[in-house]
Amino acid sequence: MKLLLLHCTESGQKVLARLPQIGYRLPSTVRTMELKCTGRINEELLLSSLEDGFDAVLVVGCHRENCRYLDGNLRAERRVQRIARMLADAGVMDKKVDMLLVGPDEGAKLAARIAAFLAPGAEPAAGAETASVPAQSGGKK
Amino acid sequence: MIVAEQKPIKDIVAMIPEASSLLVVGCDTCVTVCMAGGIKEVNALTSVLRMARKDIARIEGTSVERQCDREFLEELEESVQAADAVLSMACGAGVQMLSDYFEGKIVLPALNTLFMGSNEEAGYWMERCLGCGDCVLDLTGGICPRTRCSKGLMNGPCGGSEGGKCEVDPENLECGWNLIYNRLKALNRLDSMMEIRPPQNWSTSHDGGPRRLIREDVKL
Repeated sequence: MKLLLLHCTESGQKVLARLPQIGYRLPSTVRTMELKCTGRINEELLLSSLEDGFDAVLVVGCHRENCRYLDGNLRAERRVQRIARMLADAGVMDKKVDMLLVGPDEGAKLAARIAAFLAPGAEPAAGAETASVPAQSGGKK
Repeated sequence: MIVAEQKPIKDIVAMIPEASSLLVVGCDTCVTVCMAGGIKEVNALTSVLRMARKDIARIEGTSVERQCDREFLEELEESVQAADAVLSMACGAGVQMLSDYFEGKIVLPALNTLFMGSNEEAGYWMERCLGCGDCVLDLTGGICPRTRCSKGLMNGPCGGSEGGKCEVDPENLECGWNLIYNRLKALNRLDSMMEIRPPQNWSTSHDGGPRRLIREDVKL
């Protein structure tokens, strides 16, 4: 199970940075990509990530009413829900998108969600490093 | 503009026949503006279909300036001929034109065409014109009674208008004739409402088959 974490520079980045403090290292099958705000997320980014090999995308943004850009997290949530619904309705069962709203001190919540995404037995691997991937490119603009 | 929305994805997935290649074609005009069938939507739908229909070896997407215009379809010749089926993300006019132009190809609609309207705010479109063929906007302050009045009345408002709202949907729908009254009042043209208008002559609307417009002055 390859998982992509799309996170914002605020709560998303901060909660990731604090994961080692709770003794959690990201598994090697998890990649991260930082965006200024999750409101930057669009359909193409989510879908091209899935098409390019990720089995799941988890968008990690700030709690409601805590977005630095007012409502970027809520717009992202609606887009994620739409894509999740599209995939389910299309019968695509082996790909998944979801969103998690967190605060900087909610590392345990993020770790639990990551564990839930990963296949049984794929518990967080000790010592694995967080890697970044470049932004996906779409088709014709 | 023409406003449309994407069909339920499960309907789209189900309508595509067994094929080895599929071409998804968007339209860069109306359906791009209403975010239903432009290149962004083509790319998104193409991605989902590639994941949902793994039995189809090749699924590609593109778009043209206007699918309802024959001159813009020529550029699709090579890609359409290379595909077993074509999924159009244009309005109904575009789908039909594509089907006519590439006779013999299976052309499928990915959208439901809804109405002629305007973008009121982000994510909100509203019908503005029925295309009735007999415009009366000069008499009604630029607000169409046939479209904006739920009953299409030519003399209004009716008894279902209360507080400026229509009884059909009192929470969300403005009474068209209340809007007309307020507009004419602001224009100091309320006298226009005093004239009793005859019922709509619907013979200029969808009547007697598809409507046609022929202009000798622009014929070549």
